[in-house]
Amino acid sequence: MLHSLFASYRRHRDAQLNTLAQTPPSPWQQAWQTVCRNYLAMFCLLMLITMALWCILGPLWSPRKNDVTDALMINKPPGLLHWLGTDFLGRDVYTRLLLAGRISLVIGLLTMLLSVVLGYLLGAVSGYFGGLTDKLIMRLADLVMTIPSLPLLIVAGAMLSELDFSADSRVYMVIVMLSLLEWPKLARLVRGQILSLRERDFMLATQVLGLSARRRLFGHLLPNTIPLLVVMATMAVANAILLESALSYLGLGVVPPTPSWGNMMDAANSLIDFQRRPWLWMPPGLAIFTTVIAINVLGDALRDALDPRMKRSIK
Amino acid sequence: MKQFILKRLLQTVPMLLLASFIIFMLFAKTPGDFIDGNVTLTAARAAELKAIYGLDQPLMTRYLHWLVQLLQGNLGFSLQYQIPVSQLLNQYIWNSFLLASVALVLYWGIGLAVGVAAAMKPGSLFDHLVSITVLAAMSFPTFFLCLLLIKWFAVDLHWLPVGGMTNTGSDATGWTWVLQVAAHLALPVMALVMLQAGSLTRYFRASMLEVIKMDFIRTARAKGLHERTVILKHALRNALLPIITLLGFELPGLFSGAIITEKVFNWPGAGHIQIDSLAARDYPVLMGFTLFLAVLTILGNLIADVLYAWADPRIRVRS
Repeated sequence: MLHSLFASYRRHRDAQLNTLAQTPPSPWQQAWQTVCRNYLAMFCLLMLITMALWCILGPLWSPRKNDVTDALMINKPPGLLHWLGTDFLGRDVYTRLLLAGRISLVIGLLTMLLSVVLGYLLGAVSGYFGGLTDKLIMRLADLVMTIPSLPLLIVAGAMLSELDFSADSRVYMVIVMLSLLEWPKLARLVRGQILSLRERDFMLATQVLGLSARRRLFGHLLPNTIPLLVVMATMAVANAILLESALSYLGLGVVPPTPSWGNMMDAANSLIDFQRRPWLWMPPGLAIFTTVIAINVLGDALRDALDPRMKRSIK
Repeated sequence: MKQFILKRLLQTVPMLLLASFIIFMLFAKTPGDFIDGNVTLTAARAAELKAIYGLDQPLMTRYLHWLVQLLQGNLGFSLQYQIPVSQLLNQYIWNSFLLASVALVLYWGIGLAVGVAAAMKPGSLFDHLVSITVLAAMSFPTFFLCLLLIKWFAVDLHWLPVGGMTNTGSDATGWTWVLQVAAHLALPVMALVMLQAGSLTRYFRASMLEVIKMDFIRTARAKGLHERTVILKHALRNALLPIITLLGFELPGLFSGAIITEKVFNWPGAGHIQIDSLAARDYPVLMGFTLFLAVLTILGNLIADVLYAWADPRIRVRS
């Protein structure tokens, strides 16, 4: 009798211990679960991965290995031989679309990386140290934001054309150009976030606990800016792809023969190509649109998952 | 308040100086100029022309000269059109202003209405539809959207003209002119509205949601006020506060000319001038115009700050 009572007590305690031992999922896990539950966002993520793989691997399997010209197959409409037709030099539009996708995606990702690193570092330094450093960095950011961006890009693009960069190294120059324009927005956001985090109670607590400056900064302050950073970085990729395409469309970004989605759409500038040969400019336009919308939907889902303030308002 | 405005005005002076310096250096350092671009000139004639336009002077002298002229209200002289830059801009800027202002009114109206409606029932089907549409509209490359609109409405359906501002060779006046311009205006305005309304809708929706969950809204509802009164009178007013600042930022956009939209629709606006001057290397025009836009941007920021301080007493007290 007594024995069974003890046994049931022990069972009860064990069960309790089990539940206690199960730590609740970390905020990151929670966020990831939220994103996973968002089917639209998951679909977009899968689509982006597929597109990236397709662009990387597709040209390897394409019947036309490089974008070779073919004088006998000029301006052919889509058919079995050329899935998306050929352009005015007889190049296969489908192969070029994939090659352009590589360039556009690389530009999007690298621009994001560079501008986020720049913007995050400068914003964090500015927000954390304050004082003269803050003033200098923020005035610099204001200055860059004061000069209208498209004219600035156009001038920079014209300068690049004069400096005779080879078509390949021009891609990297475009990346640098776009990042130099993008960082102020990111720096401002990060600075604002850090300023507001610094005043919060948990930062006061780290001070009361006597943690070293290094631990307070890297262990408590900066990790809290990561959610904002993730969302910003996602949106920055979309933005960079859009800017690059606009610039290349005007003939000032990536220049032929290097294909990019933007400069492939240049075909639409001639009236005949625009009216009679939509296969030249429709596919790259649709490619930009799908990529950017997928990234935006994903970014939106990440924002919902990572930003607790937004989450509350959705409920 | 007066002190606040004065302080901000003083802060803009060094910003403007720096901006003017950067803009000048950017264009001065760009290889090639209007005279180099003309291959028919002999070397002696080119040198002579350069001396006339002062292009042979050291950079700093040229900058100071430009700055002094600017302070006297002289934006420069267009090499390509041989008229003062201000006169040239005056010819084209108002076309851009017409396009941008019509679009502005429309997308603010749409953004406000749709954003508020979506915020009233967060998570509803309508809300989801709005957010998807908004994301889609934000993801269009400008030129692709413009091209699609032309293809559908002008080329395939023949409803609206392809581009330009009036019919080719038309010298209509009065109401016929107004109607013609309105028809030509429709497509570019549609493109601009589609591109811009999205982010505004998001702002309005987020701002409304923020306000709706505040205590005074619950109080208003508890008092038994109509839901319409609660939303339109109590919530909307407060939700508008942070958005008022955005109105200031629109100022440069009214005059800058949507470069790509104007190019695709062949609209004779300021964006057109920029591309044109760039192709001809008519740098005085570009320099003057870029600086003009920089001034407008700074002014827009100032207006935004002042509007915010005017609308929200809490800001006024703190500053």
